[in-house]
Amino acid sequence: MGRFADWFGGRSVTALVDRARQKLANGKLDEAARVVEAGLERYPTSSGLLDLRLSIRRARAHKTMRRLEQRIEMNGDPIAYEELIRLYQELELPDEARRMAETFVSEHPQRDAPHLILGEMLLECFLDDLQARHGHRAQEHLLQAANLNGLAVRPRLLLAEFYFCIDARKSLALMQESLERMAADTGSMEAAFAVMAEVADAKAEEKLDGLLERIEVDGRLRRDPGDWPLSNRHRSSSELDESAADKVVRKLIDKDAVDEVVLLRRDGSVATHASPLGVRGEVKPTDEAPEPSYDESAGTLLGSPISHKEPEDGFVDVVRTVSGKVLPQAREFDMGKLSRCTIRSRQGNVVVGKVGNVIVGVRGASAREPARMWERVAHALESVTGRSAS
Amino acid sequence: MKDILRQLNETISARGSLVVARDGVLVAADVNEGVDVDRLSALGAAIVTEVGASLSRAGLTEFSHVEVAAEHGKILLAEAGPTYLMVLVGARLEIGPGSIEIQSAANRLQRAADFATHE
Repeated sequence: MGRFADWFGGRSVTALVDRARQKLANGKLDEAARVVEAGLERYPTSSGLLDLRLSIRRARAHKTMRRLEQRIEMNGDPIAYEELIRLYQELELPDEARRMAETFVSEHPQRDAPHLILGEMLLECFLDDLQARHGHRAQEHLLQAANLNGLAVRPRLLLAEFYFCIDARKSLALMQESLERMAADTGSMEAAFAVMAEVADAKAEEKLDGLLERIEVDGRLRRDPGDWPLSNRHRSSSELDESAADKVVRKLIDKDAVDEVVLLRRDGSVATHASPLGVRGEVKPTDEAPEPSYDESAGTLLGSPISHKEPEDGFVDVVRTVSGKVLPQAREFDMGKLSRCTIRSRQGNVVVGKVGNVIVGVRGASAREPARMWERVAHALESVTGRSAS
Repeated sequence: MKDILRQLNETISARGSLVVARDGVLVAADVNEGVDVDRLSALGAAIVTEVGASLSRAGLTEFSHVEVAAEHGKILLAEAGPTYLMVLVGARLEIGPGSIEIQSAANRLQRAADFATHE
C-alpha cells in the first residue's frame, strides 16, 4: 500500500528522479539539490538519485573549474593546477584529473608536487589494474618527487606502500631507512615502522621489473593494500565486513537467487565463497580435497566429496582468471570505468565485477538472466562493502 | 573473413573486430586506426584459452558469449563455429553478443570456416 501511495503522491524514486532532472535542466540547482537530498533520505541507495547528486555538484563547480582553467592558461599557475586536479577528483572525473596531472608534470618538471600527484594516481591505477607499466611509472614519479624534495615524507611513504604490496623487500628496507631518519619520532608512523621491520630485508635479492611483470601475469598483489597500516585509500578487505558478507551470500544462496558466489580480496585470496554446499571463508587454490571415506553399510562415499569440492574451487579459479587477466587487459581500450564481465555457457552463466574494491563472482543456471543475477548480488553486498557496484 | 568483419564494423559502428581460433591464434582482423590489434587479439586469446580452461575445470565446458562492459564501450565475444568472433564497440546499449548483427556475422564466419575446411 505504501508504495502505491508513494507512486500517486509523486514520491516514488522514479518521480523524484524525473522532478530533480527537470529542475537541473532548467538551471534550478538549489531546488534540484533539495529534491535529491530529500529523495536520498528515503531511498539512500538509489543510483539515479546518487548520479543526480553528482551532476548537481559538477554543475555547481563549473564556474570554479573555468576560473582555474583560465589561471592555468594565463601563466601556468601551479597552485591552480593542484586545485583543479583536486576538484576533478572530488567530482569523480578521474580521466580529466589524470590528463591534468600529466600536463602539470610536463609544464613543471622541476617541482616535486606534480610528480607526487601523478605518482599517487598511477599507484592507485596499478593497485587497481596490476599493469606493470603503471607500477613502473608510479615508482618513477614518486622517486622523482622524493629526489626533488629531500624532506618530503609522503612520496617515500607511498613508495613504501608500493614495495610492501609487491613484496619488494630490499627496496622497502631502503625506504624504511630513509623514513626512520626523517620521521622516527612520529607516533602515527609506529605501525608502519613495525610492518616494515617485519617485511623489509636489505639483503634480499630482487628485480623490480620481474616482480611487476609477475604480478601482472598472476593477476594478484603479493600483499593486500588494506594490510598497509597507513593506507585508507585502497582498503578492500578491511572495508569488507567478511562475516556479514558470509551471511549475505548465504541468504542469496538460500533464496535460490544464485548458485555460487565468490568474493576475492585484492591479493587474490578468497574472502567468502558460498554455494549450496555451504559457506567457505578461506579457500586457497592449493587446498587439497580430503580423502572421502567409504560407508560400507550404506555403500556410499562419505566426508567432503571430491566431486563437490572440485567445481567449487574451479569457480574460484574462473573468478581469479577473469579479474586477473581479462579485466586488466580490457582497460587498455579506453572504454572508461569497467563494470563487469558476463560469460554465458550452456551449463550456466557467470558474472565477475567489483562491488566497492572487492572482486565478486556470481554463477547461476543458464536460464537465469545474468544482469538481474548480478544486480541482486551487488545490491545485497553494497551494505557489507560500504561501496556501490561498478 | 575480413570482408565480413569490415561489413560488421560498418553496420554497428564498431571500433574493430577479429576472429580468434579456439587455441587463441588470430585468424583475421579489421580494426580502426587507434585500436591496437595485437592487444585486442591478446585479450581474445586470454579469454578463449585461459578463461576457457578455467571454465572447463569449473564444469562450464562450452561458453558461447562473453561480454566485458564498461562506461563507454564493450568487448564482445561470440561463438562462430570453430572460431570466436570478437568485437570492440562504443557505448551502445542495444549491442550485445546476442545482437542480430553479431549473430549474423558469426554465422557467416562459421560458413566461411566450413567452406575453407571442405576446400
